[in-house]
Amino acid sequence: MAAREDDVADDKSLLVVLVETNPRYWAASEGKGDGTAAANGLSSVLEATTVFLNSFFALNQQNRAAVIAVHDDGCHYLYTSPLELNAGDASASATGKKRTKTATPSSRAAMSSPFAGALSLALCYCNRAQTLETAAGLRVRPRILCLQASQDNPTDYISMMNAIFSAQRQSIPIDAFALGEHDLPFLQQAAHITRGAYVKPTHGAGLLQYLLSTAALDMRSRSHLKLPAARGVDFRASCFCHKRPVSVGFVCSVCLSIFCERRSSCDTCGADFAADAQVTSVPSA
Amino acid sequence: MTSVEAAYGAEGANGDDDDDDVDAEDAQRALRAWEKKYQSERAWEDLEEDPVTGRLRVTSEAQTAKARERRAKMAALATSAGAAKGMIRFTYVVVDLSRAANEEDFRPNRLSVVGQCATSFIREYFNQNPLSQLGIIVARNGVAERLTELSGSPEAHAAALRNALDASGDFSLQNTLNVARTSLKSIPSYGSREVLYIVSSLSTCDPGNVWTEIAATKAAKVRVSVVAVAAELHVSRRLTEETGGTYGVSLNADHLDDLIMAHAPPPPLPEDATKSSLVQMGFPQKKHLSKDALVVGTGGEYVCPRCSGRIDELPSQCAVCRLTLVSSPHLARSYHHLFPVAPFKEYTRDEASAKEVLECKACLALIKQTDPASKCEQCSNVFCFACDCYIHEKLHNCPHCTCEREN
Repeated sequence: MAAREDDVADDKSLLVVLVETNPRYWAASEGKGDGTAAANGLSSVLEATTVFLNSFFALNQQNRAAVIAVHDDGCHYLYTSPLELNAGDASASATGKKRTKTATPSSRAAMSSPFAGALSLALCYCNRAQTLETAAGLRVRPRILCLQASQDNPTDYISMMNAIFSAQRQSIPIDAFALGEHDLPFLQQAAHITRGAYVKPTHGAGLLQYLLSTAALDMRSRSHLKLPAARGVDFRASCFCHKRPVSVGFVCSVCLSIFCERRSSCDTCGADFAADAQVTSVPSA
Repeated sequence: MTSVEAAYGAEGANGDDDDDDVDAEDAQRALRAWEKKYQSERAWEDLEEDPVTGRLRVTSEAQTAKARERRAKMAALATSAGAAKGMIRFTYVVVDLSRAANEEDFRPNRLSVVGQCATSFIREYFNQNPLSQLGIIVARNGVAERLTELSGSPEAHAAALRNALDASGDFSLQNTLNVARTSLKSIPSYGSREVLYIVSSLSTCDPGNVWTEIAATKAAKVRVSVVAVAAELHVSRRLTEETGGTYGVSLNADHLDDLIMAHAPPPPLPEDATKSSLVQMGFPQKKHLSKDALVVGTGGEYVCPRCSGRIDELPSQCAVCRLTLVSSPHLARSYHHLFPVAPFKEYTRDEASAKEVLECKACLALIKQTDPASKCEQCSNVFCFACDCYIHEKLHNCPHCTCEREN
């Protein structure tokens, strides 16, 4: 008997969670930002994440996850479920491998955390999982969940965009949670472009509830849900000269670099704009 | 393969003359070129059976050799990336819909194959060239018919082309070139002007002297490239040589697709063809609009950053203040051309570390002694080869350099 099309087994998912553990931010933000998810400190966020991951594993025996800590000096894998499907160790512990990392406090710590790097790392991991699964004739659906509290770092703009586009090409949705007071334009764009969900919890204490109701479900189940509507997306770019977010900028016609002010030559490609004193605009066709 | 050989390889070029028997032999020889690679190499020796799954797989030596080849290719790409490219392109695609397009040497016929290739080219073109514009001209019954004006919407072009696929009459090089040239005359000086011909016909039916038109095209700094479906045509080859374009003759449907797709990435910028300038642009925010709001502009979800008018699609121009509006992700698609990841060096193990099993710093895969590994020279992390390829070909970020650059 042919199986009905909607009767297929649940998708098994690979979820990569990026948690911000930047000590600078968490130390500085202690007790601030009333009502946000970050107000109760890192431990409450981690607690919610752990419960969320346990319920994610309970949804499907074959669900797998990886957790990456986004620290001030780099990104570290905290936990990975076993990926390889070797005939020999099929009985390998389902608990996966806990990776311990002793964080070394670095002197050049910054208030913002390297989320572009973390996303790149997560994508490499998803890529490996996809290659392994395709080789075995299976299909895995990776997702990425970002839990970011600090603000975006505008210098990351290009690497962030590169990561977003390769996620889009591999159809990996990026779910983004803004835990702090501010909206996160980069993650907003990431969620918008990759068709993930962008959530900024209004009741910080209920972070777990938000996670369970949006990020726990695979893409197919999500189509039956009414997810929190995106209130808007900030499509601003960062200029190349001062790394400031700009809403009206000047674009080099040769290399498409964005500048926040008029200049006589392009820093990126060396094109000379001295010849035309007047700034032109593209005519509509 | 040179295009002369390619011309011989084309099936459509063969007639019934004695000379063509020689050509046919040449074609046979040319087609066998790909086989020679395997004749000399004993390809079956590169395969071994996987002990676990029983599937055939490529042995590690062959893999290493392939890895080297691929790495060299990535390095070559990285070095060429710095060159200035014409990023804002204005291109006309001329599709030959003369009666030659009804030939059935491709399955089901040339027309549908060309239609498919052109449609996928249009999509890829807009993917790789944000802000660029494209128009379609079809040539049939001896006249040039401008199907779509220059614009930035891929779906509109694809739909128009789909509806126009109906071939008859003759192909005219002069008429099509004239229409394209006069239309490209009015574009801004910083845009690069291009025409891409997809020609099935082996003749051109012109009202006057085609060479004067070619000279005028050259003077107008229009770069003309030709992809011939059937065989080389002297007049079109000269046209590409004069205007600095490329010429290609397809061997089969796949090759035709490759030839057409090769025009999707931005070409290197000719010295004097375009003038660089700064273009003022706005990056609108997307904001929800309540149904009963009173709005200025076309009333969409995007808000013009200068005048707060409403716009319904990007890229476009603000209806109120005429500011060019683009979405910044649109622009950012091309930035990996500008800032490529430096190629990784092949990681060689020294005596001390020869035995140990490494872990890829990106995907945590174990790297055995026999597996190729790569090392980023900036952050000195070691990656497995799969990640190396992924980072350079798709991601365009070194994960650890990105983490460190931040601070």
